[in-house]
Amino acid sequence: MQRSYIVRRAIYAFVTFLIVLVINFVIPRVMPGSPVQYFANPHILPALEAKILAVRFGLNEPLWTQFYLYMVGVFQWPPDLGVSYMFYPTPVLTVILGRLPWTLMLVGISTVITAALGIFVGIWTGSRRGSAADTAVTSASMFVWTMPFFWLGTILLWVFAIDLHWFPAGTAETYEVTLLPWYQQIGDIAWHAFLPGLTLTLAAFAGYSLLMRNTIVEELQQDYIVVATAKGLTRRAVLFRHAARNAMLPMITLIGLNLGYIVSGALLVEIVFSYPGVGFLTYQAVLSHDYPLLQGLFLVLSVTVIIANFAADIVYALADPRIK
Amino acid sequence: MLKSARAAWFRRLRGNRRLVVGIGIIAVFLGMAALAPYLTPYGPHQVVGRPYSPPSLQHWLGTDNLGADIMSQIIYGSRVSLMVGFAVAVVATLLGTTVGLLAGFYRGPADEGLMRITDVFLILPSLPLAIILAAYLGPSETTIIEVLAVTSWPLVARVVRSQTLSLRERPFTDAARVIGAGNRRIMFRVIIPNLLTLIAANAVLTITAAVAGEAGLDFIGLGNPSVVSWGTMLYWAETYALFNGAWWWIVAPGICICLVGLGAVLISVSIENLFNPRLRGR
Amino acid sequence: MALLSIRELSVEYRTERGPLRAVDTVSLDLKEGETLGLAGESGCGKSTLAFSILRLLPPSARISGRIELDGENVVDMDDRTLRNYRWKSVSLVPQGSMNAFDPVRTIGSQIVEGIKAHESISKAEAWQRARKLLSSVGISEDRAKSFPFQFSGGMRQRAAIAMALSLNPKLVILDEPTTALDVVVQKQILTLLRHLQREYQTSFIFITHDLSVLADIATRIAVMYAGKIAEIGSETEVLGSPQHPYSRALIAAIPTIDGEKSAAKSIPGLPPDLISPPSGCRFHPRCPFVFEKCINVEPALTQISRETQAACHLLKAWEAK
Repeated sequence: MQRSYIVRRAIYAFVTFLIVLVINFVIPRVMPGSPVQYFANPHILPALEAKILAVRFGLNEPLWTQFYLYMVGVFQWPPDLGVSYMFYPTPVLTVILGRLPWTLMLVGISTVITAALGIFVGIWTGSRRGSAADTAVTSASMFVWTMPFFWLGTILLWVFAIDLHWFPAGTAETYEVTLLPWYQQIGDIAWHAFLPGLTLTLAAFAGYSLLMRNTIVEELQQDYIVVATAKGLTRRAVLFRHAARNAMLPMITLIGLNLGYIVSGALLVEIVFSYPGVGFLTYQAVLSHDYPLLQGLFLVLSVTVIIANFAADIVYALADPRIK
Repeated sequence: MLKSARAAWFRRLRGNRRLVVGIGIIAVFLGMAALAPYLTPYGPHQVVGRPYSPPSLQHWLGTDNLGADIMSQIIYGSRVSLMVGFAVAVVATLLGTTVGLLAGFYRGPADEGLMRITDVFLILPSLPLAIILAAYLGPSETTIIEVLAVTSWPLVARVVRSQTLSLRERPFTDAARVIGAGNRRIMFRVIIPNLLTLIAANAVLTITAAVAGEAGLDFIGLGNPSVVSWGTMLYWAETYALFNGAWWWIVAPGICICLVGLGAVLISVSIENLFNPRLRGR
Repeated sequence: MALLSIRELSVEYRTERGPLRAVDTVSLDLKEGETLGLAGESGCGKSTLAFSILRLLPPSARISGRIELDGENVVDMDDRTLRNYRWKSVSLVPQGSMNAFDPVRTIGSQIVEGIKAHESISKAEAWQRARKLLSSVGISEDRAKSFPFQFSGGMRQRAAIAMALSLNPKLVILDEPTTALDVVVQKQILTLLRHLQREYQTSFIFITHDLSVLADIATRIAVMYAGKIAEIGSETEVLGSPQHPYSRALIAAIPTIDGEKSAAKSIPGLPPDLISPPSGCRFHPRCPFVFEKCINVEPALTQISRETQAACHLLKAWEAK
């Protein structure tokens, strides 16, 4: 893979980022109501401070000036994304960064597990296409796929946390444990993260397994598979060393594309489990009409997904020798 | 020869269990929505019994925190949920198809530009975008429709563009051009008819995604809580049902969403298989 | 003693409309060092016949009969013996060798994979052998680490041939090795095959629908029609003086550069449906010499000269003097 490919994908990611910035800027300004109302909520702040904020954000300036100020704010270090109402006067970015690691952990680990599960189920069903086992597993996984994230989460919460008390009914860690050294916290954190993670995995894996299954079925019909079998390789070697390896390529792209979907799901799951990540934060922001925080969240989440997609592009190029 | 081909086609249609089951499921819910007043004696908000009473002969799905019949809520709720689903699918499909068709057919800078924007929307997590828009637009079912349409059209555009690109290169398109057909005519007479299966298969999936999406937005509180839909039911159930043991209140709307999803997937997959000769007879 | 001995081989596919007999009670022998050309129209069963030697048929296929290589019956082999036998005793160069190679792995690694699946030699040795094999087919050794997409079609074909010879098998099956190539490359491949024939003493089964390529390379030719052998004999006799009406029509259809200009001669009609084949002689609906017996009685494969057999009621059995 040549450097020019990386550069091209990086430029693409950056352009996407710019478009997201513009969208983020435009939305509150095309919505009904004046921006002042959103950025300097008079119900929360006294009139004078509201006016000060309005001046600070340049809300009474012409649009281009506002856009310029906005861009300046974003491209400084640390980026200025405004000030949150709920946690006034904490800057939005600080609030978000405080919660982001929890979501990243949840989404990160569950994406890995979900992809792995999807890949293996896909290989397993793809190599047995048409059999009773395949039909059963594929149908079951499709049915689970139709379950809304938050509904599945609620059911799991109910059964395993509230009814059976096997897992905690929310939050990310028990207070007492946070006072212990970090390596002793891991077990507790994992225990709390299990149900949310399980929800995400169950609700999303079928997307991967179905694609993997279809791709495996297609690959198994290629000539090189016939040759591999003719070479005297075992069925397993043919399946994993050749068919699966080729079938992984579209999977990598899908993992990147699906990230937005999983992040959306994670948001809902966090709400159900009161998990202190950015999803739950979004929920709180909606309830308290904390518009600057909402905007900041949208931006941060989008940037995360853009970066992850870029990473997926690079991984894809590493895996496929045909990419130049 | 043509008649026997069509007869064989219908035979396959009837024998296609997946399609029949899928249509059956959706038909049940459509029937539920259409015939709501005839199916239940209670109104969705009518207090008819003790709150939180479990499923019984009188109230098949029990009652909610105010004592209203949950089954009636499911039945009346299907109207709103399905309507949202269809509305979103119609708008997203029209918009997405137009964009995808134009981009794929004309290619060049228009294609680049349109696809760049489409891709941005595709990559972005749809829920945060939906939340932001809905937060500004205010809680109502119309908001939800608008917002879901915005997050659903990009996928349709992508899919339609891909197919348009490949249809463009087919011999029958060249043949039409040789006869002297202009761009507009080719688009409408050649490309669009061949896109219909794809559009139909995708539209069905969009409906179900919208039904689930509506539920999600309601759940967060961005819908109109006084409207009865499966989503708002779950919104109320989340707060009240969990700790009052009313599991049926949570399970019922969710199962409905799942079943609609299942029906849609079955129909969509069958449409693809029926019209794609390559996949046939495997 | 024949290297390969096929007896009463039948292959039946399960289909929606009923069982399809792609190969119907075929028997033939192949000696060591011989090159058998297997010719016929699409769907006549030649590929099915050849693939059954390696048991590479899809699961919907049912094989009956005997296929004996060096005394062992391939049809009955258990999985382990089968895997051992594949590539070592018999190997394959598939049709459209464009796709014979896994696109995400290097050519060399795939040759090495075949070698190491059967012999316990070190990786370095295996790679050494792979490079030598590539050079023996005219590909320079430093290309061993290239990917398939970096090779031209002709190069991939040659690499596939090299890979097929990597374990020095007794028999190599080549499925339409020249079909997807232009004539210049075709000639190169044929020259290469002749050279390899001489050098390795391998037997080849050369499947094709184009009889003209068999002229220089085959020692014997079998013409198949609708799952059965129509005529099988030495190359000179089958190409030079074909006896079965089908073989005659096939050979007459080959356009020639020299001689008078004449319209291309094709065989009227379409190949038969193998789920319900024609009664009697399967060729009878299209045969210009058809008479009553042809419709009712299936002709048996009979010796019509010292080296040739054919299945046609018109031909007289040959008496050995």
